[in-house]
Amino acid sequence: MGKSSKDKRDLYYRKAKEEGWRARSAFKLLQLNEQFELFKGVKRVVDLCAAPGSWSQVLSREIFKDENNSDAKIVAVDLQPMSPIDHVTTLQADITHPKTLEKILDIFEGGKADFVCSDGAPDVTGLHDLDEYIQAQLILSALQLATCVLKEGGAFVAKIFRGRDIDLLYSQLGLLFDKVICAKPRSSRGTSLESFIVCLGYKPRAGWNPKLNPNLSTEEFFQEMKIGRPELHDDLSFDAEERKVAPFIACGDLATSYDSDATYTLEKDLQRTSLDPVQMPTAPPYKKALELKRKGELKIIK
Amino acid sequence: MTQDTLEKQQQLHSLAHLGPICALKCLNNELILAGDGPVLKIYNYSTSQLVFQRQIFARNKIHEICLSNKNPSNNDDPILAIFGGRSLSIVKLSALKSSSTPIKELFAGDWIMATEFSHDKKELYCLTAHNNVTIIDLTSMKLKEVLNCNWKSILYSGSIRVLSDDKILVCAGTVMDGVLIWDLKSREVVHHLTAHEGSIFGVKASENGKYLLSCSDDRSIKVWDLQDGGRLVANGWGHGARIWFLDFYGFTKDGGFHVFSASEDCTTRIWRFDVGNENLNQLSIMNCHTGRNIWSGCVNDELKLGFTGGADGKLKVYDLNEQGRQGYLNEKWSLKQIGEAADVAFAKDEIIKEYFDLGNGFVGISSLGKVLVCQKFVQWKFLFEDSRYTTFSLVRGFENQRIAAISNKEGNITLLKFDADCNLVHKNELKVDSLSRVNNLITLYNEGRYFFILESPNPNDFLLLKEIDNNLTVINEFKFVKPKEKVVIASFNINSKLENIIIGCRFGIVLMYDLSGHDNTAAIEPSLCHKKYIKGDTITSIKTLSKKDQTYLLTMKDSGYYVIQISSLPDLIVLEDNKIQKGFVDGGFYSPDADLILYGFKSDYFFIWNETQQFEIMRKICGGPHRQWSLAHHYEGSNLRYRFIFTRSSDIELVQNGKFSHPDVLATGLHGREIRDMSVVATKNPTKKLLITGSEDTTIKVSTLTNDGNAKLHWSQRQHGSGTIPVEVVN
Repeated sequence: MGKSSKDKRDLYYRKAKEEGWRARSAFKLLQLNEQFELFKGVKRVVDLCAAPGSWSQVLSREIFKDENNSDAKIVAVDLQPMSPIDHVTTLQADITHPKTLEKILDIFEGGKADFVCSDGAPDVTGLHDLDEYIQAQLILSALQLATCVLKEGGAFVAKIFRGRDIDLLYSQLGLLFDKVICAKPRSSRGTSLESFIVCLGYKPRAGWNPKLNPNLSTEEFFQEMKIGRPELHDDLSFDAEERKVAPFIACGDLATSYDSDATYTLEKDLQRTSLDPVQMPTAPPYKKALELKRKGELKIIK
Repeated sequence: MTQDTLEKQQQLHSLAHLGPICALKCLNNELILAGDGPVLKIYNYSTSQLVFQRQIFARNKIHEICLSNKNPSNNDDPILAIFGGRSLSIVKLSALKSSSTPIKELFAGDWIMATEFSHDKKELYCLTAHNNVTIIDLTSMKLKEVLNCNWKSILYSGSIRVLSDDKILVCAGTVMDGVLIWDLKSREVVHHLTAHEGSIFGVKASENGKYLLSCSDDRSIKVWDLQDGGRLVANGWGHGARIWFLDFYGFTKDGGFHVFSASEDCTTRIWRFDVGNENLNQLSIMNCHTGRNIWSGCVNDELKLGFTGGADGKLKVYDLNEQGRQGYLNEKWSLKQIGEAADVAFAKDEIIKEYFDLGNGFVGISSLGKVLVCQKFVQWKFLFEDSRYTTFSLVRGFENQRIAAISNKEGNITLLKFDADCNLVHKNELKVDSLSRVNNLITLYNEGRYFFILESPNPNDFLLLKEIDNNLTVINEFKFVKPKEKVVIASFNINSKLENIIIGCRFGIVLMYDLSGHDNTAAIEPSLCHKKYIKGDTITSIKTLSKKDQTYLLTMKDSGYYVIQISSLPDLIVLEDNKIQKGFVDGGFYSPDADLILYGFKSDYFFIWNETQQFEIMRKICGGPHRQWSLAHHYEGSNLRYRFIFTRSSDIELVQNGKFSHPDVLATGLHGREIRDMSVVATKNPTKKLLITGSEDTTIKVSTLTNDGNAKLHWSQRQHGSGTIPVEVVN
C-alpha cells in the first residue's frame, strides 16, 4: 500500500496500517467471516494468490486465537515472493501446477482442506470483457486446485467482478457446492464491481476424481468435470450456457463498521500523522520505464 | 393494422452504437472497417462518410477483423473473419453487405486472441486464450482440428503469421511466460522470448517472418530478429502506459522499418528501426484521443496512412509520410548559414531578434539592425541595415498581406511592402512623438484594412491606434485614454465600420473604446473596462464571432478561452467559459467547418489543437515557451496548412506541413471514460436532438444526435474537478 493515491484516502486504508495489516482487503475477509463464520472449526486452510498476505494475516490471527487450534495449518501460495507470517507456510508456486498440490497435501499430512480462499485479481486492462474473462480464468484456476484439496462440505471464497457473464459462473459453481452466495463486505467500495463468491458445502462431482495435469488447461480440466463450461463442437455452434442468479448479501455491521465510500474526520491528534505502509510495494514491471522518464531519457530524436 | 405488425412497430430496436472502437482494418485504399462494440462500420476515408454498418454479434465486442485478401489495392470480394471474445463470424464482404444474408456466430472453443487465413485461403486458424490453435475448414465450415505446442499458458495477446503453405508462425503473448513462438506444423516452440517484464500485450511478426515486435506491461516495445535465434535487437522506450497496438510499416532497402504504436496513455507514436541500432528511435508523438486507452489501430503502408480507434469512440487518421507530402518544409538555419546565404557579415553575439511571416517568406531583424528576408522560406537575402533598430526592435505585420512593420523604442516605424516573390517593393517611415517610449506594437488585418496599436509603459500616455492603406500611408488615427488601473495590452479587434475597438490585456482585463462620432484628434475615454468577468492571465487573442450579436472569442494564456458578448455597453456578458486540458493558449481561430482551433505551448512543445473534435493537429518539440516564434496558417478546402517558425539556441527552425488530402477524423466519438449520465433535448429541427453527456473524465459534452442514431460532438466543458454524475437540463 502506497501513501498518497487518491483511491486510498478512506478509513479502512488508515485502519489497516494502524492495525498492522498488509492491505486494506484484510477487513473484507474479517467482515465475510462475521457473516458466514467461515473460520469456525477450520484447521486446514489454503490462501491462494496470497501476496502481499493480508488474508493470511487474518487467517493466522483469527484461527490461532482459539487455543484448540494450535495444530491448525495455513498454506499461502503466490507466484510473487511474500514476507513470512506467523503460523503460515508460504509457497512461491504456480497454483495450476500438480507439484504445488503435492506440496500442500504434504503440509496437511494427507488431510484435506476445510477452507480455500483467493483474493487474486489480474491487473485490469479496462477492456471489460477481457478483464472479466481473465478474472474468470483466475477463479477457475483457484477452483481447480480447490476441487483437488477441499474436503466434502468445505468452503471456497474468491473475489469476483460482477460483470456481464458472472451468472454463468454462479450456475457452474452451483453444481459443486450446496450454497453459492454473492457477498459484498462494507469495506469493499460501492463504486467497485468487486464482490466475493462464497461457496459453502463442497460436494465433489460423483464418479469423478479431480487430478491436476500440466497438459490440461483449466478449460479442459472443467470440460471433463461437466459443470457446464462451453464445449467445442464439430459444427462450431454455440452452446446455450445456463445462467443463474446468486443471492446477494451485503456484510459488515452497519453500526460498528465504516463505509468505504465515505470520508471520515480523524480524531484531532491523529490528523497530521502519516503512517508508513506495513509492506512496501513490490517492483512493478514498468519500473524501468519510470526510471528512464525520471532521468529524462525518453526524448524524441529527429 | 394487425396485432402482429403493431407489436413489431412497438418493439425497440437499436439504431446505432457509440462506444470504444476495438478493431480497425483497411479494406482497400478507400474503405476502412471499424469494430464499434458489436457493430461493424465501414467508413470511406477519402470522404469521411460512414458508408455501411451492421451488428455482427449479439453481445460481444468486435476485437479484430481479419481479411483473406492482404493487398489493400485489390478490390476482390474478400472473406472476413471477425471475432471478439468467444464469438467468431466468417463472412464474405458481399454477404455481409446483403442484409438478407444472416451472419452466423461461431464458437472456436475458447476466447479468441487472433485469426489468420491459410496460404491457400481454404482454412482459418484461430489462436485461443490457452494457446491452442483451432483450425476451421472454410469449405465445409466445420472444425478440422485443434493443435497446441504442449505449453498451455494463458495468453493476453497473439498473432499468426502465414509465411507459406507449411510455414506458419504462432506468436503467443502470455500472461506469465513472455513470448512463445511456435511452428503450427511441427507444433514445436521455436523461440521463447523472456526479456520483457510482466504480461505481453502485443506481439506481431513481420510479413517475411524476419522480425518480431512485442510490447508488455513494462511499457517498452521490443524488436527481435527471428532469423538470428530470436535475438533482442532493439528497445523502444517512451510510452507512459501500456501499449495496446503496434505494427510495422515503411520498410526501407537498408532493412530498416517504421513502427506505429498506440497506448493507454492516449498517444500514438512513430518509431524508426535501423539495423545495428539497439534503440528504436521515436520520431513523433501525437495525442489525439481523450480519456483513457487507444484500443485499436491499423496502417495502410501503400498510402502511408495510420488509423487509431479509442475508448472515446474516435476514429483518427494520421499522415505517416508528412515529410513526403507536397509543400512540406523543415528547415533549420544557424546565423552562420544565414550570413553565408545572404552574403552578410554578422558581428560576434549578433542574433536574429524578431521576425514576421509574410506568407511567401519571412522578414527578420538582427540585434544590430540588419534587415533580412527569407524568400519562399528557402532563400535568404539582405535588405538593409538601420542602426536605429539596434538593441530594441519589434517586427510585426499583417497576416498573409506581405506588409511588415518595424519599430524601436523612440517611435521610429519602418513599414515594408513585399511583392509576390517576396521582393521589397515599397518602404515608408513614420515617427511617433506623442509617446514617451514605444514598447509594444500590435497589428491587425481585418477585411482589407490595416490597423496597429502602439503602447508605452507610461500610464499617462495614450494608446495610439493607426490605420494605414495599401501604400503604407496613415489614413486614420485615434488616441485612447488608458483606464485608471494599470494595463498592459496584448491583443485587439476592431470592427470594419470603425464603431468600436476591443482590447485584451494582461490579468484578463477587457477594454472597449467607442469610435463612432469621434474625429482623429480628441482622446477617447474607455467605454468599458472589465476586470471581474474574465479570470486569468493575459488575453492572447480576440476574434469576432458574430458582428451582429457582438460576440467575441477570447483566448487566455493560462489554458482557457471565453466567448463574450458586448451588445449593450457598458455590460459584458460571459456566454462561455472553458478550459483545455493542458498548456498555454496563445491564440485561436475557427476552421471552415466551424471547429475551434487553439494553439500554444505545453512543457517543451508547441501544439495546434482542435478543441471541437478534441485532437492534436500538430506537435513540435521546440524547447517550450519563452522564445521568438511565429505561426501562420490558412485553409485549403478543409485542410489546415500551417507554418511554425521558432528560434532555438540562436538557430531558426521552420516546419510547414504539406498537402494532406485525407480527413483527420472519421468519427469524433464522445468520452474516453464511463458516461455517468445523459440528457436529450429536443430542438427546432425534428431530425436532430441535443445530447448532453457527463462522464467519469470530468467533462460534460454537448453533441447533436441525429435520427439515425449518430452523434456529432460540438463542445467539451471542463469545469469539474472529479467525475461528474448527474446531468440535468435546466432550461
